[in-house]
Amino acid sequence: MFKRVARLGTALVLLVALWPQVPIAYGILGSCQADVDVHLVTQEAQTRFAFTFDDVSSIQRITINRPSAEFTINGATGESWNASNSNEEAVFIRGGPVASVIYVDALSGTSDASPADWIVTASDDIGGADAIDCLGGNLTTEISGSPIAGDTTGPVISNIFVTGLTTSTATINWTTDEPATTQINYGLNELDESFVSDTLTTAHSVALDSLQAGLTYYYFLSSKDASDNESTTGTNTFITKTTPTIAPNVTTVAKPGSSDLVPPTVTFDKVGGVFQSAPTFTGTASDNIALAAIEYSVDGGKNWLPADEVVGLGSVAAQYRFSPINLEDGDYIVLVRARDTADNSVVSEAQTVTIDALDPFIGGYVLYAGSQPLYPNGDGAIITVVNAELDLSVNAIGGATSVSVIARQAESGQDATFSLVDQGSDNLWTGKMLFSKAGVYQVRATSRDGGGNISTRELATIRVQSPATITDGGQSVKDATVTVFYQDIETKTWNEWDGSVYSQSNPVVVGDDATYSFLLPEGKYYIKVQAKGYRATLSNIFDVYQPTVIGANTVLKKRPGFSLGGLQLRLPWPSFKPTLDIQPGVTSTGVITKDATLPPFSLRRSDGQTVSTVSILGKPTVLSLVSPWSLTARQQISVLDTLPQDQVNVIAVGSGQNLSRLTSYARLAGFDAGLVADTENQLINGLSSGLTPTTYFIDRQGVVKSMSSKVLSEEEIINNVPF
Amino acid sequence: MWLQFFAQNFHFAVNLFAGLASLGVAWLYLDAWSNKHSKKEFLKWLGFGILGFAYLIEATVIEQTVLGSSPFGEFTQSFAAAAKVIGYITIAVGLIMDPLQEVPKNEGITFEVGNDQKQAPAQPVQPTVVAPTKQTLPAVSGFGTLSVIAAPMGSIAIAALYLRRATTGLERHLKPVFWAFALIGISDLASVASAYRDTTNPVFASWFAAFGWVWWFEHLSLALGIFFLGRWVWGYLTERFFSQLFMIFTAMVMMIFLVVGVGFTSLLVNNIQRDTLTKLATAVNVLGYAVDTKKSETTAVAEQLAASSDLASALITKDREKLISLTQSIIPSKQLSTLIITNASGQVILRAEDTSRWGDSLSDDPLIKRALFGVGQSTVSVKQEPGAPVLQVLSAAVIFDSSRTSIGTVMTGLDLNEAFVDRIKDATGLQSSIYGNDRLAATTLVAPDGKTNTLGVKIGEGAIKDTVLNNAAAYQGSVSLQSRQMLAAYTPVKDVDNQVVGALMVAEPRSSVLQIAGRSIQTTFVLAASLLVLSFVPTFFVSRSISRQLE
Repeated sequence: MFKRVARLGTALVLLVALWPQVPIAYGILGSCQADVDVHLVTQEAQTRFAFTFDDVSSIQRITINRPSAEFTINGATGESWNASNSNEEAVFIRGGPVASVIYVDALSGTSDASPADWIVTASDDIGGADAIDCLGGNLTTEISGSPIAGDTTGPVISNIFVTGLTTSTATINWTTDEPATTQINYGLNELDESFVSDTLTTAHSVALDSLQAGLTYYYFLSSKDASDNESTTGTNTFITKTTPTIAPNVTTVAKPGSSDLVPPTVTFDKVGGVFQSAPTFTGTASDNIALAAIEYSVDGGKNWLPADEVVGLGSVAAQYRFSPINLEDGDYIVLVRARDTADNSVVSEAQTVTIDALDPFIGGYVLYAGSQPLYPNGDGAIITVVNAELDLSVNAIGGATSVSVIARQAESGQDATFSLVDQGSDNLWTGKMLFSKAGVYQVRATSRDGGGNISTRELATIRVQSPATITDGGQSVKDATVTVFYQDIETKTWNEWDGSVYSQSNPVVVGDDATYSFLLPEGKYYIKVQAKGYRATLSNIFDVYQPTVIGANTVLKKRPGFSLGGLQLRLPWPSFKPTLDIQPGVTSTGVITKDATLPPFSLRRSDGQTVSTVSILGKPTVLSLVSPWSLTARQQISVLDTLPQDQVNVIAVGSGQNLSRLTSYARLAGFDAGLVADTENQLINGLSSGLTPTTYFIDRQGVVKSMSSKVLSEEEIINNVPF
Repeated sequence: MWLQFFAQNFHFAVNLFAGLASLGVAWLYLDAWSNKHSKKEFLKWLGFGILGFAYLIEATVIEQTVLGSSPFGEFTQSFAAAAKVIGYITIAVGLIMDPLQEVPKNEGITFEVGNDQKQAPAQPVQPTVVAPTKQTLPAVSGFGTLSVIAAPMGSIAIAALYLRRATTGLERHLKPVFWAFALIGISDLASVASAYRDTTNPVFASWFAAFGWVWWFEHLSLALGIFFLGRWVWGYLTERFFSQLFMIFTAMVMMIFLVVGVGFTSLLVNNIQRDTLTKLATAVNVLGYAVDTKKSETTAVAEQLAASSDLASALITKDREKLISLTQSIIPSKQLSTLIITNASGQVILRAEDTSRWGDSLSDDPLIKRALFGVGQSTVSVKQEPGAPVLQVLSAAVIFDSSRTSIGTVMTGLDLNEAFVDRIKDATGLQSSIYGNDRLAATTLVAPDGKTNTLGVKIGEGAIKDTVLNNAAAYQGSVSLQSRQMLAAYTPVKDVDNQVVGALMVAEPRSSVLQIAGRSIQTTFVLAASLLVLSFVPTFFVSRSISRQLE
């Protein structure tokens, strides 16, 4: 008996010793460099210190020790880092695809302290083994001077981002430049849900749960500092995911004729991290009878593939190994499922791995209000109205793991942040934008990839108009009715415009604020404003050449009448003269004249030719930024195909698109001129507009003479070619 | 629509009566001229004769903004307008040439013998062209444009001349003629409003529109004026038995033509509308068959590829280059938007439309799943893109190796996009649209700018959505699309699980029904007016024969 046990033990030892070594998933950490952003603080100051690392791809754990005993660490945070702290140190452990900037909150003491370095160490081991010092950067901070009194400024809210987006949860993060309270108001239509915390902190994070899948949530943030100064953001948005990630689960089926209800078990070796190409995953599975299959999923459990290599199928224990092929940049939720011969199955815990081979880029974009594409006005700004919901689609290449759009109001400098969601194809991210205050906004998109790399691109200038008001010269006129009429293009008769197909109401009965606006498509219209006791007011007849926000401040006049006791009697009073002057002010082509130099480029076209800055010289050029995923761009491509290519260079550039996709589309569309692949945004980064389609008119010398961001007809293009 | 139809028939009837009344007056003056053969009487009967024919031609003119272009072009309208002005001028000259009747001498007061030459003759009224300021004149050319302004001047001048004769002169019996021409002048003046239909004032735009209230005012004024003129001339024509008989016969013939014309055109419009809806219902089914044909085509391509031994062997050996070479020409030649080859696990080995994307799994795709079980099927699915959805026909077939073991699948897809509906339009002339769920995915309808189509718009709330999308039934009726009133037929589109995923729609502008009818209406009117004129000859001889027998 003893010999048997001994032989079995020996066999086990040998098996373990001879078992092929699982390759180490994380890289070898050779060096580390970090910088801190604040080098001087006053006494008794609560400060957020940002530590920036040159490369975090191989770092699993970071420890930060205070520079002197005059500092008390009281907070730590970092995107996808699991942070903890004591008074002396802050510890960060990788929790997924992490950012390269982490934050430590610290309170300075009541005495000055000489300049001293923060002690920062990093390790490629979660436990902190073989940690190395992060040197080479500036980590010095000193305390000097008395505390600043009389704070009357509210905290500055910045760095708003959303993490942990699932079908039912989201975590809203933001920072303030001084310790402040945490408050979020959120909801679907009404912001009727809220979370409030009076704890003063500079790193704010609120986890929301019980959300509904696939819907747009609106929220605004408030933070109040110790002196009761409060700051509030505009309205921000995020969209919950539609497809849930399968949670670890066990399914017992018991095939007909089988009484086996015992599911298998599965282990899945931890690999998590950032990789340039797909890593190899390993693990084991076991079952009481026999294992039938081991499969994996890289999309959260939607689709499954058999593991590449499984040893032991058909027996009670098996080892598996797989390496997903051809993974593009991005985050992948990897799961393993083991199934036994009775069809009982088990799904492992999920692991998130990040593939990061390319830097992120923001490519072309389209902006819609409902079904209507929005284009810049004559001055280059896109016009919308307060509280109108806009749909934004952005092409983000380079394996973006999150894309946010930040709209900064020029007047106040306040940001509104809109989180986009991945559409799963064409590197397309979409989201909703809504502006709760009138003003001019500079809108930029920020893309982060799993390696912590960030790319930002200015998208557009959006001018948000206040809706038109209805007053009697002083007071708002509530319950006034505003009706839009359109001219039937066939019969020339005037009919009430059907707003419902454009997700709008017509007529509109205004509420307490007595405001209205319409986003009208192309056509001929007029507006009528009526209210009880007032003369009806009409606008002039006006033409709309592209979807345009329409509304005019209206002053209603009382109908003539008299009072009889408490009874007001008003005489009917017809209106003949239009008093609302509406001039949409958009030309039919929206062509903006400019003189600009084309950025140097050399790109491949779907027919194999190279198109470059030099190859277009000698003939005028029509260059359009297009994308197969954009409906309006496809419409533009079909127009470009009709242009006389012997007289004009016709170049259709697919920004952020690979050549094989464009080649296939050009063949399908029968587009003889071929599509040019600007895979890494060589051209789009040098041009002013990323809106698709945007058409540039370039003269024989390669100078951009004019441009237009909308679908142009053949005639409009020909008329603008600088022959 | 029926309002426009009745208004057009009212226009026909009023002008027919106007023609008859004018011809009656012409008859009266002709009778007077036949005794004396004076120039002034000649001009009067000639003028009224021309005016009568002008009204008969005007009766056949249809409102082109609503009823579409006339089969006679703009000729009839221009000709009628020109003839009317010439008639007015001729009558006016005739009236001016005819001196006023002498005023009788009163006892005790000595008057010189009246001298016609000393009386201030009325100046012939010259048609004045009033240059429009900001507005655009209507689309009538040449003399028609001039006549829009000249006609009211002519009729008002004639009214003034008759008033002079009835008040300054002694021809009190001509007062009704003054009232008649005063009302006709008002009608002609109201017709000038048609030149200002492009005004930017919405009140005036609706007033001046075809069949707007100024149009009705114009026609009612004319009807009242013609009533006065008709009653006046009837009183004189009935003085003689022959002329009375002639006018009775003519009026009866006209009434018969009028009743037949209006009744016929009414039936015509009704039938055209009913036929249009029936045709649309058939057409939307044809569109459904076209979608089914696309399913068959994609299935055929998938099965043909799946049956290829070269493809099977390339799949077994994972020879992607060979798979690419075998499939690269198929996408453009078959107009496919997607062509995917998977292995038996559902792993994508080739995505022909984007060869760089492969290796992912489609094991959850219902078509792939069914194909791997040996059931090749087709479906229609909705793909969401920015701005608008795309309806896609997808088919899958299983690939077997030489031992009939399933080794993978071929999935082919084709977008039901603008190119698809354009081809339908080219083949059938129908305006067709495709909805993905409740949003417009493809259409041949263009926006008022004539080039863009507002894809992504909703199907609208109410009966259409309830019937087609919620209850999976067909719908026919009137809808408002792209700033146009349309007659439309809808039918639901279902996926492989029999769930509604969209709708097909074919439509015709409602005005096209009137426009089709308009051409027939005008032809009917022209025929009726021509027959009416032709009937004058037998009516004349029959009347004369009867009257002679009685005499």
